[in-house]
Amino acid sequence: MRHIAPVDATLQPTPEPTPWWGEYALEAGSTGLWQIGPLRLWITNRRHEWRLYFERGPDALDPSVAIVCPLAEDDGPPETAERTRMATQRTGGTLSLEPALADRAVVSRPESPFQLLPNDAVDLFVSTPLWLRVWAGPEPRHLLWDQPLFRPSDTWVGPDTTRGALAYASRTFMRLDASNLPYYAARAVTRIRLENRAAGPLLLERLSLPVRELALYADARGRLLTETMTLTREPGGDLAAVRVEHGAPDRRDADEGPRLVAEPRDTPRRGGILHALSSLLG
Amino acid sequence: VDQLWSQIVDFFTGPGLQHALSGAVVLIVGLLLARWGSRLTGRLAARRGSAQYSLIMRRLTYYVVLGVTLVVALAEFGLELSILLGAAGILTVAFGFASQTSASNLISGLFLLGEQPFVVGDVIRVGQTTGSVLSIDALSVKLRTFDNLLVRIPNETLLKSEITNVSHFPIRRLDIALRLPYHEDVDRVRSLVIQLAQRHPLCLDEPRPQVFFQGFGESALDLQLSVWAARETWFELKNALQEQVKTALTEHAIEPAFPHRTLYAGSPTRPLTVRVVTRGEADPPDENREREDEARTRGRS
Repeated sequence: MRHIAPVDATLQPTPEPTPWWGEYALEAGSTGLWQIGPLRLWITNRRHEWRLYFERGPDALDPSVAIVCPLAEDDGPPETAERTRMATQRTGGTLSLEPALADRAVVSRPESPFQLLPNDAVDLFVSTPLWLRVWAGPEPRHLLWDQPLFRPSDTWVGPDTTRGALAYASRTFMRLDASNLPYYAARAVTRIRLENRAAGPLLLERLSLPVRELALYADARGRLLTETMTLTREPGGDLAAVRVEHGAPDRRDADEGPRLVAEPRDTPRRGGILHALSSLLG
Repeated sequence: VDQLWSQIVDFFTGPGLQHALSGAVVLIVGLLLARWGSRLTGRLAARRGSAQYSLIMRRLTYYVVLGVTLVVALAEFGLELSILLGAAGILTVAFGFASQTSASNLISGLFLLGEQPFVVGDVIRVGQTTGSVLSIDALSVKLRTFDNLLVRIPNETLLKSEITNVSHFPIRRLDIALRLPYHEDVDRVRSLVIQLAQRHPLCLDEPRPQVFFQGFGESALDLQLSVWAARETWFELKNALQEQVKTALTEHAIEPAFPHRTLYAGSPTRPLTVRVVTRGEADPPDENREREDEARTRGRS
């Protein structure tokens, strides 16, 4: 059986990141357009109503970012765009766009499987797909939209087809060197510390990243990063401790420390949680 | 008449009325308590467990409270339970013969609840019927089919039948049969359909989509595309992927194989002569030739 590898645009030039999140003012009767990677989203503020129109391009790794707010009256969403209408009693015109991590674990693979030597550790860098949350203000804010910028493929993580959990498959490879990981507007980067305390080598074919438990940060250059995760294979060999290093990830090349842009979806658990190795590495 | 009148007066003035009234009150309160208690335990059980667990707890509470109420109410009415139970023993024999089917269903229902091949909310297939389980009752299981019909299946039938639980596991395989003509490049078709599956977001990345070469058919090569999907999105993927496969095969000029049959008459067939005749140029009917043809046909028969 031939295996067709996931798309990985490492050969594409890496554009400068453009921070697209934040607050926007949208007067009643006007429309704004946000293109974030593969997603084009039009938001119209009508009296007592928000209308959201969207369409997604075919390229999950599209790096383009463009924001036009407000949009000229003649420009509007195409007829083919999908739409959502949200009614509200309030007439406020403040919008808040936030990036968020996926609502399930994300499975990523190295370009080719490798083994981590016994009593050794490496850093892995993984980029995972982003979701977009749109809030209508002012306080208390109402969530208008919580959807992926590009719908990732479903996948299954577990020892067999009867035990496990649904996850998303990442379309990019994990890297051993952060500089090899290109910037994508629709993705965030996670650093994973992989430690092998067992006597034998640790084969890494894929890794399930529990992104629901990770907070999202933005560095001074506008790149999105998550909290760092440590995965330690215990000496026994079959169990792995997963620990999230809470707080901003360590970015030595940034002038300022990364600042929080989205809280984790699930309440973070303190300390390491032991998982069966098969549930994390497949 | 006087005797009857005196009995009626005695009933209303003596303890008889008091017993009847207190029995009726016990019965009404008990019924209300059974309904209220079963709803409460059902709600509490639903918070902690499945819909199945909630249903069982609701029914159990209802029947236990109802049973206790009946016993207390009968005692209030002045009836001795020992006599009733003695009579019930005799009745049981007669009743048992008359209600064999019901008893069998009742016991089968207990086995089904114990074994739990499915729970309320699962989608099951029994024989030709596929539907979502609405309730597991004492005598039967109620299914709602996808065309919104209520199907009642006796518990005894279920216990004896093969039941397929479609929604037991979180993921499910979808098989799409492909029939290709013998001259088609199998590798090309395999790559095409695997790529289609990999691009579809509802098709699971793991377990990987696969194409199985099922065999050499009578008129076609039989292939099968097998992909996996979450049980909630299985139907959506089935519709979308089959359409996409059809479109892709058409775009790549890959014709599906149609059933065909070659007839062999015992010797190599000579090519048929085809003569194109346009209107106006056709020869006038040749009566002699027609007569000759007719005579030849008669000679054969």
